[in-house]
Amino acid sequence: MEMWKELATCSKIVVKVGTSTLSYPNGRLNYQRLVRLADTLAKIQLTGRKIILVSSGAIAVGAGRLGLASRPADLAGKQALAAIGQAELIRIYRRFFEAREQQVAQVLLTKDIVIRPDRRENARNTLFELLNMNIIPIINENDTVATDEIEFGDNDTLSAYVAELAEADLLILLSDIDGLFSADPRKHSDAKIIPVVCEITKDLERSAAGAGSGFGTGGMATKIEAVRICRNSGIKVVIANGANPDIISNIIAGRESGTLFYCSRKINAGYTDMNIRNTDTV
Amino acid sequence: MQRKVRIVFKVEIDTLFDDNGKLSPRKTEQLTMVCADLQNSGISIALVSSGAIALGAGKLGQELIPLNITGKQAAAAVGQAELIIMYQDYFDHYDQTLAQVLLTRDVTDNPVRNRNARNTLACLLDQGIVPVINENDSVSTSDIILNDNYPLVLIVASLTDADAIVVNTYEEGRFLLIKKNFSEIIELDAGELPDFIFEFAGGKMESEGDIEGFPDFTQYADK
Repeated sequence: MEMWKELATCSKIVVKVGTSTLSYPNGRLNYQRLVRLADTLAKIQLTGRKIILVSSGAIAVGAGRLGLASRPADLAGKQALAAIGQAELIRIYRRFFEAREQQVAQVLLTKDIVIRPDRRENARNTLFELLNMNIIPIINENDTVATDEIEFGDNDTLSAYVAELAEADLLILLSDIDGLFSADPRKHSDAKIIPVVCEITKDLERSAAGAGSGFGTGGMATKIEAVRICRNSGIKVVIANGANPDIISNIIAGRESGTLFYCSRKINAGYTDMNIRNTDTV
Repeated sequence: MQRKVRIVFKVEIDTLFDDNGKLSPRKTEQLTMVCADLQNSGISIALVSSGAIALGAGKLGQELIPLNITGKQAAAAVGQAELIIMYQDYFDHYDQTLAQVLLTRDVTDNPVRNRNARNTLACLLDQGIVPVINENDSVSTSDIILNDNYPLVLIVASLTDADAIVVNTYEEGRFLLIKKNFSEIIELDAGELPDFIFEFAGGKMESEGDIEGFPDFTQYADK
């Protein structure tokens, strides 16, 4: 399809990987998949495109390091695990990327980048400088100081703000779902992946938000929210299954591989209206 | 409430690097051994460590530390990853788990941030994990501009309700031990640290953790 083919021209790409992509169902890291992810991203970077990686997984890695069977329920416990796991996670990424002679950097962000102009400017400068030096920034939420447990909602939302901040062309959301389905695939065997979505309709938002009528494993609501943020800046979004990270290569080669939320690129998109819900903090 | 005695360890560039500006494996090994040993003696340690920009510049093959702020921030983003990985590699030898905590100055004046940081640090310290703390240079520039982490050390001392701060001196292997409220400062060898820290904390293995701690240096907070 023509719209997918346009993705071959994208030069700055934000890739978001969820915990489900990075880890086995028992919560331990899927090293094979991480190796393939690093391999794919390093190869793309070699073609001259700029990559930003937004990675979840710190809490899962922290729980693994401490040998915990389940996650703590309290916020301090989770934030402590995130502080342990983020250190471990960046070490593993650095190891895999370094083997491919790809330099990485760690950038931990809070919602401040959306609501505080000084923080926004600093984060933006840092990202642009890193990209200029062909370094892949690996971004996560700075959970330790986040003002509440769900400051960004999740990394879907964070990655959308990062895409906007970095003036990216494309955001790729990788998780364990193949894309947006025409109906709940668990109930309807004839449900198909919708290859292109050009408009976020009320119907779409409703069906994505509905708990019982979710598509796949859920989490579609936050993905639609990410799409909404990106559309303000003319950034295209692809939702795809991260089980095989090579899918990223297919996407940026313009081959249909999930659902593309299409919009035309705005010239000088610049700052968006920053219409986020909780601006009362800080 | 009774808790383990807590100290904040101030790590400066000189603590980790040799005179040529290169990371010194010997100094780093010595520092992590001292910290792991203090942990083993029953003292909780929070490390406030500089070195990210210098490590990042080295990693990027830059002879000198970049002069402009953006260059420093990018070097810090590369170097903070290097720094925390380096600490992990060394602490792994002593089977010591660490955590990375990146703070911004608003941790002092934003009540929610303040409470969260306090709780997280207490949770880590109580579990015998060493938090390795630095300023989040990618989004904040106060320490970069000040070029010293003393304000952050004092903020962390306050957040953790520390019983003492440990700072290295120009003489290798010698440290300054600063008692809570700055009521006493002594210079001693690494081997003497555990005994004196316990003495500073009232000669007990557990601290009462009174409120009269290190002051918050809120005037440094970037509003």
